[in-house]
Amino acid sequence: MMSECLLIGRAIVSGGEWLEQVKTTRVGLRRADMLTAAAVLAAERASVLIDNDEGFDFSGCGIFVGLGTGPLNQNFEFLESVRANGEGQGSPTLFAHSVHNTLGGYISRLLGITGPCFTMTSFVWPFLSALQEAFWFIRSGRLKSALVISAEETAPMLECAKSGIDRHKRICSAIAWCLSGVSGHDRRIALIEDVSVAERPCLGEQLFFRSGERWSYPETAGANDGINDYAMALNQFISGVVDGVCDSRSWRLSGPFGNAVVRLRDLQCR
Amino acid sequence: MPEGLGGVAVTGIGVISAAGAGVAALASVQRQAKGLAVEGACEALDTGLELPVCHVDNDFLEDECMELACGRFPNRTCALLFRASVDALRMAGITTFSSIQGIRVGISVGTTVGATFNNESCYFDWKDNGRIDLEYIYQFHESNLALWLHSVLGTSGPSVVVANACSSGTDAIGIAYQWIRDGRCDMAVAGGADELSRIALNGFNSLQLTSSEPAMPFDVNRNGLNLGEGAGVLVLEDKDRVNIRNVSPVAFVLGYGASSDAWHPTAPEPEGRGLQSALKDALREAHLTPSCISVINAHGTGTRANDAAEARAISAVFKDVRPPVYSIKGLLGHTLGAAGGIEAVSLIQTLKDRMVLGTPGCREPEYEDIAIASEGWEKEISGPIGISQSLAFGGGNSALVIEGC
Repeated sequence: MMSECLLIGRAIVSGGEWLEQVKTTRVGLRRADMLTAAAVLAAERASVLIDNDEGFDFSGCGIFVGLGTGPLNQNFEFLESVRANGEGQGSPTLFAHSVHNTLGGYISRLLGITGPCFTMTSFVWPFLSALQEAFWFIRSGRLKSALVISAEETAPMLECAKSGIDRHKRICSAIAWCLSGVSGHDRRIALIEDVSVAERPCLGEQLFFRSGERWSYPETAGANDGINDYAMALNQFISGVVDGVCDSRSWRLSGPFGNAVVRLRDLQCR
Repeated sequence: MPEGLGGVAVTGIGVISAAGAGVAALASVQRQAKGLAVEGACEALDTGLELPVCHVDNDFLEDECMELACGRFPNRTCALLFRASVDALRMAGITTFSSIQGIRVGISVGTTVGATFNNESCYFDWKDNGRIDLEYIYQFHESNLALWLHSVLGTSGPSVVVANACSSGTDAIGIAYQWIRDGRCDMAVAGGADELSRIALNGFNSLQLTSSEPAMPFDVNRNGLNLGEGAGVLVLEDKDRVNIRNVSPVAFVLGYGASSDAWHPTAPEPEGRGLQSALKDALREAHLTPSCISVINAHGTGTRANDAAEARAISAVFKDVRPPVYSIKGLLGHTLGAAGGIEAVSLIQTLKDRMVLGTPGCREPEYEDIAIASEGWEKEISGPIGISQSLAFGGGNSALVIEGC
């Protein structure tokens, strides 16, 4: 017997400098990097409106994080600390934040979530990959609830490789969805009917430039404008699909690197 | 074929490590060794840090089976993964890749270094001179281990790269086990792979977790870990499919549990409460009690904090059952994302031999509440079921319950 999988909360956080300011005042984020801060804030915002009495149980919750380049900037900063200070003198704080699952660990610690935490990396559609696994954990009854997060930060080296322009300003974006397997949840935004991601091997060049990527849903269609932000570009798309629609929607994404379908039903107007 | 207890069949295992390539090599070196399989090899990383590391001899990455990938290795982690995967598939009776190209094959791989852009020369060439060789950038984008393995095997099906730090390999097997149970694929190739990295070595050193001596897991005098590299892979299949293919499983995965400490960015919760939760969940899923477990392959890194938390968790869950506990990190080093895969293979071999071998480096066990198999141990185990467990940076814990055949 499969459980229903409901979308009951969501949030998007994006920006640059203000995130740096938030970090200095927010308990637990002082040492965090911007990517981690964005992910934590998105996870908090997605779940803060949900009354636990209504069934979102943090103790039975799992965390699913999807990352593309992930903590690439922290990795480079650690490298620089080794070069500047010499071997054996690298910064432990930078190293600790250069590991992919750091932001999952922060979310677990700051939100008090003791269930499983999975960090998955993919250059294709990292949010959808994480969403797909969370969807199956809920559907099979292994988890009662899940937080699905994707976060990305522009990396100056990759920006330069793509555009030839040095942009040292870094921008972050994070998306978080709260899922519940409790039927009839009062805060349901939609029933997630299916999440199907089929990734396909392709040339690195196609992934890097997102060439040939397309997405569609009934009213509009779009294409990636080539920004290197696996989560960011998708965030806008997902936000647009869920807002202000009151029936069912099926989104389709395609590219030389795969196909994906997400089907939502019974969308509630909010 | 053995019936098992209702789990997912393991029809092939493959491993490559500092002990060599193949399951037999691992068991043989484990039986003979009293310390690191390879020691003092910092030259391999062009590092000035005088720390022992366990590296894989390049000869094992240049034999005939590597030719099947037609030289397409975006990085060393891919090569390690491929070597272990081919061995596992061959044991499962898959001698030509074309024989699995018509079925749904899931690929679930754990890694840490393998998901990171560690090309120092590329980065500093951009930083210092503004030059970027795009080939390196493309190569990075082609190095997703699961998709890359799909491309060389010519297979299709679900794919995931788990980057859960040191529990990545165990979690990757746990996810693939669930794919099979949920009917999302017919067969899965699952495990972990990681290469040595100068950056990771500096990182662990910066956290004061490395030892300048061979690691001594669970020993009263332990003072840190050594890094290693390798890959460990399992081929998982539904039992009905195993019957149709008429192959003999080597083991069954009976249960999987995972949890978070919600405690500290890098240190484990001191009482091992998160690991206790993962162990209980894995046992519950397998419909077993602690008394059914005959051996535990511990994470056993040799750091003060890890081994203490792990020992307390084992003691709390298993109380007076006291199954023998062993670690192979004093032999192979800590292979990070590969560790869970390699250690699952080691456990399956232990269950097959019905014999637990001691923990290299552990001469004076610190903990009396658990039965640590110290160096030189060689004892029969009482039953066919064991546990392989992992802990990770970020507070992750995971456990697999496995029945040997």
